[in-house]
Amino acid sequence: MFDYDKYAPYVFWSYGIAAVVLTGVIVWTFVRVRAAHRALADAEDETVEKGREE
Amino acid sequence: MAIMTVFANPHRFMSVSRPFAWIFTVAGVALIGVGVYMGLFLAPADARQGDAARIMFVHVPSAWLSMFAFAFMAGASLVSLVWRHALADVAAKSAAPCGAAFTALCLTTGSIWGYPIWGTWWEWDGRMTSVLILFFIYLGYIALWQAMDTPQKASRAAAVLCLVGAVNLPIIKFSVEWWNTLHQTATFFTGDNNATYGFKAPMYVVALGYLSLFGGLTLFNMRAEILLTRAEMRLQRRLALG
Repeated sequence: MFDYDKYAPYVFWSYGIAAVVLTGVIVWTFVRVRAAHRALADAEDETVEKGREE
Repeated sequence: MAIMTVFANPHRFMSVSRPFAWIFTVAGVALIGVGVYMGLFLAPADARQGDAARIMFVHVPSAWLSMFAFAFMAGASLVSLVWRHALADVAAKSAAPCGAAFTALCLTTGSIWGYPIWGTWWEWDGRMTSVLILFFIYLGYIALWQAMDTPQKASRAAAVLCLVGAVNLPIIKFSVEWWNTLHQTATFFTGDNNATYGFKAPMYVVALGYLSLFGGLTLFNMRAEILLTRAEMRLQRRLALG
């Protein structure tokens, strides 16, 4: 298993970088979705408060 | 055309897209996992490149996706410019970060693969240079959305940049035929049976996984974009009310 001779570091670096990049883009997307939900909730709260004041 | 009209409504899109986003993302991750397992453990070592050839299972599909994502963005940009489709801009903008990530992955894994096989990390040949240009176009496209005063101006300018940048796609594809390059010519989808099933299977599984992940993340990004637009509109309405 994983007996890739002299090429082992190159193979592992490639797969490792792929894992980091793909995980990064997945995490970034979910953080962005969460931030968008929060921004909309905040905007709705502010609008409701404004309506109550009026 | 009918599908285009159905999904022109952001409300309808928001109501139906969530399960698809999850299904595509989860299926993408699972397929990539299976493909990586096949590439690392089941695929044979290449006769000439030995185990270094295993890098192709993450490198080549990322190259396909980098071009596919940009072609998708160009298509969406064209729809946006011609038909003013409400979601076309959102789709193009949402696909860009994922496309840029696949292009960065293609460049880095290609460089790592190149060193033990070619003896160099980088060569300014047609294929590598044109993919690097694609990566810069992605960055420029993302930056352009942030740089303009209004979303309307940004969408128009970004769509034009995307369509102009799409000229680079055939250059990438045919660069290995037009110029003498260090990069090898196409191996897959050529009609020649020059790759065995042991190589094709993990390649196609990872490619399908990348494609599914791209679809899922683009849908999630589109949803985030629509939510942010709604939040912005509510705040503007509040400001207008005083």
